Amino acid sequence: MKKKAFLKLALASTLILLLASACGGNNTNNESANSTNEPATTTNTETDSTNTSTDEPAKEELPPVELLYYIPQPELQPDIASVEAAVNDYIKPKINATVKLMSIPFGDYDQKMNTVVSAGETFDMMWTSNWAFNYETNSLKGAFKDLEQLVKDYAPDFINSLPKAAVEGARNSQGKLYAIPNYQIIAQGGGFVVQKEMAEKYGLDVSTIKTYKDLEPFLEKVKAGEPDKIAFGSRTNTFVPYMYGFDGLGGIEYRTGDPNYKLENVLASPEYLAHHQLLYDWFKKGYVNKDVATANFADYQKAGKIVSFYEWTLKPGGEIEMKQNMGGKDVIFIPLYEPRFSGVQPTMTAISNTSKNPERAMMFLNLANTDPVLFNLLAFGVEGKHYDKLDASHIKVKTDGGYAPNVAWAMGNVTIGYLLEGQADDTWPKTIELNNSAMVPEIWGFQFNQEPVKTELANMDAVYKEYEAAVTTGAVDPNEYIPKLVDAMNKAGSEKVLAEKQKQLDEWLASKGKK
Amino acid sequence: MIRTGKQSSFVEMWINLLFILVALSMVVPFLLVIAISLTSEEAILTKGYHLIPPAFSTDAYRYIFKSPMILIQAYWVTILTTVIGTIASLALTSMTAYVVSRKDYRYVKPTTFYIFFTMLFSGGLVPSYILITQYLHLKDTIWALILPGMLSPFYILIMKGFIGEIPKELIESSKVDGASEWRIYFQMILPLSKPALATLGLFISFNYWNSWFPALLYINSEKLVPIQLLLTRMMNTINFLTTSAQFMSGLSIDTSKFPNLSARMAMTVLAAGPMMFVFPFFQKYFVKGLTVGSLKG
Amino acid sequence: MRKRIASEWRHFKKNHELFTLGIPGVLYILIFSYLPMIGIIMAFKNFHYDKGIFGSEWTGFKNFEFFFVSEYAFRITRNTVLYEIGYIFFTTVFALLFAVLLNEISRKAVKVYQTALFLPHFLSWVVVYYIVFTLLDINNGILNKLLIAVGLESHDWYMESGPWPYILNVVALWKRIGFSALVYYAGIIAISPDYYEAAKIDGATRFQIARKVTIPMIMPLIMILLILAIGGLISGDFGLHYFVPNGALAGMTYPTTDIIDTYVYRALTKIGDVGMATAVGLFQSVVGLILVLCANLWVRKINPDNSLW
Repeated sequence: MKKKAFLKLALASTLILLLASACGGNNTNNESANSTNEPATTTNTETDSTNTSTDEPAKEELPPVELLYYIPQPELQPDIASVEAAVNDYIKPKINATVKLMSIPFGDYDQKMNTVVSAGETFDMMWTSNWAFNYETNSLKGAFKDLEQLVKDYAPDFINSLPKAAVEGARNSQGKLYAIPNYQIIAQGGGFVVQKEMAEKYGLDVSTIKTYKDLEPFLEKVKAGEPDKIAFGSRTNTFVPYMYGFDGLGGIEYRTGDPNYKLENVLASPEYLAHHQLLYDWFKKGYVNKDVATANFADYQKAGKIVSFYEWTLKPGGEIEMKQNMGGKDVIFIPLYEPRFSGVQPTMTAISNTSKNPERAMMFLNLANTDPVLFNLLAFGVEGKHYDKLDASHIKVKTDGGYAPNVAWAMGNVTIGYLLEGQADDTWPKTIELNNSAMVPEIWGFQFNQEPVKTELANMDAVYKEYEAAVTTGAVDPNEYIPKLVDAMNKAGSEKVLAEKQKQLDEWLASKGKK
Repeated sequence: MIRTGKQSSFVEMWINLLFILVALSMVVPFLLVIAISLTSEEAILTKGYHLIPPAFSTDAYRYIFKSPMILIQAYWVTILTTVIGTIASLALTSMTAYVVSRKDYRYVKPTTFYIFFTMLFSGGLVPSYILITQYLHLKDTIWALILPGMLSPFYILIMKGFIGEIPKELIESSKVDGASEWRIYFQMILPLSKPALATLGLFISFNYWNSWFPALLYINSEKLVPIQLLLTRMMNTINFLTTSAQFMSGLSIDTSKFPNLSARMAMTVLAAGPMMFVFPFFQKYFVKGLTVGSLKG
Repeated sequence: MRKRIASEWRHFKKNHELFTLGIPGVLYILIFSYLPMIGIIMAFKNFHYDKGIFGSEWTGFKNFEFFFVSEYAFRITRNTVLYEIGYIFFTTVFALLFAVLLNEISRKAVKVYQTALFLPHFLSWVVVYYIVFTLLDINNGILNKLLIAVGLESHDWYMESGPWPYILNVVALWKRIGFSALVYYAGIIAISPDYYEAAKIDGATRFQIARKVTIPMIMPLIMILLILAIGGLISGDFGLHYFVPNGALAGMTYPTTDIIDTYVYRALTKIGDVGMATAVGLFQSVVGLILVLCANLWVRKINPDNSLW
């Protein structure tokens, strides 16, 4: 009896407190909602956009604001404060704003941002992508501000300078623009990376390598001649549907040229089986390390033990970066297929729905993507302190300077920035050229909305990861395990998901007049 | 304790032998961690793991001490939170535990259930985050590292078990003498439960020492990052980047700069090491506790 | 009615000192534990950031669906419960044994052993993973070298599911024994020596003393720890089950290592749905509560002094 009475009391008091906090929560929501439409700034924007440079007239009219900017970095930079100071000195006269750089290590970024966003915290800008702090799901849940008008008002030149497909690909499944791309290579042309020294030693004729199979004689020689090395570093998920007669987007694949765009479950295709049979064969022949499914690829790679492997994106000038990761060994790239447009979603910047100054945030983002001075400050720090200039376009990063995040791609438009020591002069023009010439998939711009099938997707994710490492590296017999994988995925609901994808695709195609 | 000649020392020998074996199984892996932290990365990959480094190297420690200020700062934050947190937590825990250990207290059952219920149910991360950042405004303060987890229901209940062992008659006779509950708590319960306080103090200080999650959530300022967060971040980032390699292809991450295995081990040694010196300090009280406990009456 | 209130007030006045002594703790728990519990309603909502916890739309039990329709719901629940039973059983038995044995030897030696026993408690699960890896690694692993040395076949441990129930139980015991043994030992040394002397006068042997004096004296402590552990029967140890079998690359061991917590983590990292995560947490809590209530009832029936409330 007494217990019940007490519980009632406890419940009542908690409820009161809950209500109090509920009101508080609503207030903050209202505030942020109000701040979205400020008449003063909208009139302002018209004058801005007629002007060629968006920043000049802003000088006197804008009240000073501080922008909170969450960025991921591989590790925290001890001297980020001096970068922040230099950035603020530079942007203050231009947009009368200062920025606070909130650097979060990559490993924490998802956790931290999910919490910050869920809690409805007030901040201005954040990095987002399709592989960490997911753009699509967060955009559907209302984490970001719709940028359509803001971009038109404050960053028209930048957005117009991008390929049309790039902007198209920055939209979410509802067709809304919730983030702007951090522009860089957006075409994916995968292929083999081979240690140069080994390729020369064993007479690898690059021109003969067109498929996986062609690499086999070389691997055999390496295996025989270099017992300490790993001839082929097999990695997870190297089955690229476009190499095997599929077209479409990641996870949305149909046979190339199919007029009906009938989606297929790639995992159940004979090509998928064949690809992994080959990898399993290599595994059995000892070209691949026997702990491939459970070992850390980067550890072997760093030690220079991996002679060749498949890389999803071979980018212009990428050999230099790759060399760092290969234990200082020079590499050659062997492209296996024509670069395809892969989109901008791997790295974008969004404005928070809770931002009180979205206009200023957009002005800042516009500068970060069009003004080399600001971009270089953000990406590389202060000259002389964090890097040395080698010539007009090349720099050498000081590793102990206190700011060497080495993630220029997360900060803005890399094509306006410096080149690293050793990168070819024409790296950026070549990148842009590649982006513009890359084959754009026919259903580009279609984005799958996961909401209706998220129950199935959650279970499919869990199931897939059970088989992923072992099956896709070729460490287990695909004849036995791929049917198991397909079966488990079916039970988790892959057919329902495929049907939903087909349904959404058909609707999209109809709206575009393609079907 | 109860020694009766030859046979007993024979039994003791066997017990000692057993514990020596068990102790070795606990110590050797730890020594291995230290050994790996002192082995050159090259030797780890080619020769494997050895208790005596085949190729001695202090590179790992040099890598970490690259920026010593960060490390010193982190130690300071950790020590501060551990000391303040442990004292505050012990006071609160023992006070609450004493109340629910008194079987004659009218509200003992509802209170115990009230405490216990929070062991099973929690509202999750988001509401706690909102509470601490938006209502208590503790973000980027040392209190954000101390307050969450200051009172663990588990420890209250363990403490309750300990205090429950104190003979009831003791408390009753004090009450007859006219002592207030506060006096009984301070002058009798606290001194009598020294072994328990030492044990719980040890656990609590370990928790504070090893805690990193509140810091991950609530700390943005470099100056308040505790040592464990440095370690965890290192591990998290390595883990994360290796599992996302496929998606990051084309974005370029310089993995060569990441701490290798020996550096990760060195960081572990640095993060866990100092607590080893704290342990004996607490142990002193275990023995003392016994003599105080026997003062009965 | 008035009479009841009056009598209640009399009781309260009699207890008010203890009541005030309990206020700080009760308040702390109210603020830091009960207040955030509003978050539980997210389990029944399609949580949208811009609408907040209260504004998001209700979805009934939809968030629970993914877990219960899963083909693996049985497998992961079975694994979770069986492992927890194993951990509780072995840890309790060995910790009690060690605590009793420690009480039999000289205090100086105890200090050394205690420090050693407690060492694994220092290490995070990630580090434990590295230590276990030095044993199980296919290339340089010490265990494989031993197996080969005695003429047995080497194993690729991280690719097999069979050995993991043993490995995980050993690792869990290794890591947890120090903590539990310390708790029990602290309980034992707090026992008044009078009891021992009385037993000694009666001519009891060491074994008899342990069985008739030591264990019964710390029974309340054992029961509290057991009841609490039973509450966690369906909430597994994420760190142990995620990191030790090789983190994200543990796929082949899932048949025997996968538990509810690791499964949910895997299923929801990409989708990042707060509601679904909360739903599973709530399910675990409710089951835990039921288990504890049953356990407590049972304990109370046997000996009311040992029950939690």
